[in-house]
Amino acid sequence: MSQGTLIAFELLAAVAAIGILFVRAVIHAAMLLLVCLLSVAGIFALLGAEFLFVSQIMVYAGGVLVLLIMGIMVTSHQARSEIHSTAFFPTAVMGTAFFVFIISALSAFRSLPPLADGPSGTAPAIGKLLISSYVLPFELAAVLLLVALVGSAIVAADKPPRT
Amino acid sequence: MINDNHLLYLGALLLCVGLVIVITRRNAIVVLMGIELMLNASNINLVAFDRYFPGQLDGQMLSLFVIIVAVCEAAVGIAIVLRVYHYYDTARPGDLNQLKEHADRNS
Repeated sequence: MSQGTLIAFELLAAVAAIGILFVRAVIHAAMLLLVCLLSVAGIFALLGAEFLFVSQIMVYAGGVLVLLIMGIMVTSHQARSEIHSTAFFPTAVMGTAFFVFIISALSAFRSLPPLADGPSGTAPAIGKLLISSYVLPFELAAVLLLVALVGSAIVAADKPPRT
Repeated sequence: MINDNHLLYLGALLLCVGLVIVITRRNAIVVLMGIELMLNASNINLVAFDRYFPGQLDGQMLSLFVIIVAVCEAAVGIAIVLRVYHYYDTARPGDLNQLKEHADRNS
């Protein structure tokens, strides 16, 4: 088990996420988000969830981030995102307190079981689950994706169509 | 035996950082990035807790559906941001104060 690689990916994701909090330019925040999402994909791969690894890269790094960068290009002339200065300090204190609370709650938690070694091939099992016991959420997700696609196209259209 | 809870620590950290980003940032697209961070935290936790049930894959299936919903949320959110930008000429949520009665006095 490559424990060191896992911890390295976790540190990378954590540093990139905290960097989003402090960086000024919006496009730099998008790049840091890309680093964070790819690190999470690496964590998925190390945990033996290879279907989620591929979906994370294709959907997040390939889809959502391109969408966000297109949005940045269209909307932000100066592409600066100033931080809410009066709200930043109390919110940071609140976030830190929330984090400490979760950590202290987790310390009473029993440790996660070690990852079972061996050939891990979860993609065929996920495929079978998608068409057997998860077929209703699968079809609902298809409808949701279609509705979101058509709805976002209509909302973002220059002139709403006359009915 | 090594304590393997650091995955859960990373999930907690991503959740808190995403929450602070959503509250403090003044650009709507960065707010959407914070929401994506929080959804990723939930995905990490789901995959980590999936190890409690070695034969089943319910956690991974649930995080797959979380990814699907996150994509829909990002698409609709960007569309709304574009529409708001065309109408108000700004992408800052704090500037959308047309419904305020006396915006200049109360702001």
